[in-house]
Amino acid sequence: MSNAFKKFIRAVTLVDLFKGLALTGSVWVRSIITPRQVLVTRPYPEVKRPAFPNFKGHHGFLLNEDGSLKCVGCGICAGVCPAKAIRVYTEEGKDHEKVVVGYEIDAFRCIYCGFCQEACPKDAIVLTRLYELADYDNRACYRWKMDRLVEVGKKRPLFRDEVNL
Amino acid sequence: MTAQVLDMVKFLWAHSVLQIVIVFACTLMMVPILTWVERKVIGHMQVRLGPMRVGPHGILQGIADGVKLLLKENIVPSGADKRIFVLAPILSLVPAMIAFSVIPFDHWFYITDINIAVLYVLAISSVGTYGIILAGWSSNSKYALLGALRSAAQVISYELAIGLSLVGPLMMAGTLSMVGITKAQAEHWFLLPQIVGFFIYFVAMLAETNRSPFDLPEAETELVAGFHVEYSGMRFAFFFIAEYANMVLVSSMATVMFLGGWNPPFQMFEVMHVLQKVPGIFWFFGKVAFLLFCFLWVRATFPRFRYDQLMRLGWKVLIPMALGNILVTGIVLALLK
Repeated sequence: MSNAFKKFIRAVTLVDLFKGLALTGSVWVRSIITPRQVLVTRPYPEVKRPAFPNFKGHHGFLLNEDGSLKCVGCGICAGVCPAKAIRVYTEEGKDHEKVVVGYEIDAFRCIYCGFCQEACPKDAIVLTRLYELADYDNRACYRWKMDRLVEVGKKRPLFRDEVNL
Repeated sequence: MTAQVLDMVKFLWAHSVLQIVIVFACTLMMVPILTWVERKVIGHMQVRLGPMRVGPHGILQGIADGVKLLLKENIVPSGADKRIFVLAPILSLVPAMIAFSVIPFDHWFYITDINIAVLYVLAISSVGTYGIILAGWSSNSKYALLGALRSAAQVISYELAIGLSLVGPLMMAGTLSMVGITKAQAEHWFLLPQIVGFFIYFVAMLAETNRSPFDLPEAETELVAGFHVEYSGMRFAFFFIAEYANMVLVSSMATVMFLGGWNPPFQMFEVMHVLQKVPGIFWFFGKVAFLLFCFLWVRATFPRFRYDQLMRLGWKVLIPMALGNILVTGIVLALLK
């Protein structure tokens, strides 16, 4: 049989059209029988995708076992930050020690490089795997104050490099 | 009291009022269900979930959409021809609804049985095109006008193919009455002897209702939404309902003309007469539902035709095929006589 004749037969019998219909049809039938194996959509707020192991997301502030801040206000993180996103506010305490009174991360400036985490001598600041950064207060979305950072730091399952901490 | 109510119901039934109300309500009810089924089936075929939010598995999605459209503002563009702009959606919906008056759903359930029913449906469904053309013209918008022009050309081309493909069953039944045609298929459906006609009708009915892969008049990627791009709110919903009512209508026509209407399958075998225990109305709606599923199946599978391909398919393939089908049917019928 010549090639042209084969082509003609294919066109007349509509083989290719029926092949296409068979594909979609079989997917539909399988989606009715075993929907979980076939349908790939995750219904997002109910089913959350876990972040990848090295994902660097929202910053978290760690506490000592007695509940005090690990941070001593040395300011190395602010110094090493290539985007100048970190601000540390310190004051002199009663016994002339350094007290951290404020800590602020500008989420718009931050490039999530993780230098602050690596530079911190006290392992006080970490990048967690939290990727849901939305908030009802628009200012709270990009000016992360100390309370918020401590709150995020308490969610231990979200930490990256749990072993190194 | 109950006797009076019964008399009233009998009177309404005898004068077809009750049937009209039931058919009208059922057709309108079909639209939200059909939109949900469409989104769900196409979603599953494309390995997606489809609507999941409104009700269990999104089953109330169609109703939510309907309520949204009811509450939306009806915008009339400032450059539009207002009277025609308002008239167009009505002219599109009404023919789609009144064509149901001749469809026999069962041997006891049809609104009317006229002796030119098939011609009536063809004529009425052509009127529906005026709605689309007037909508495109009066919107005073490029996209709408282009969509309307495409629709006009498409419907003219495929109306011929649809009409010619129906001639085969008409010759075999020897009548234009829908009830007569259904009764002629009590033993053998016209599907097998008229398989070519059915194929032509199926392709042409996709084109006639502006459905994929022939959805050029509303090609989203080229024309935004086509002829109804300037419409919003309930006027848009009218076009939407008309499209789905037309889908149900052409599926019902195919059921009556080729798939034996309310008759159960395989009636040539004595054994299969058991199937007559199932009411005919279930057979009818089962067949319509299968054809509607085919609409969605085809939409999920095939990409859109190009405009010249559409015209070539209509004029150079379907119409000659339909004419040949009529010729062969005529010869065979004459030889069998």
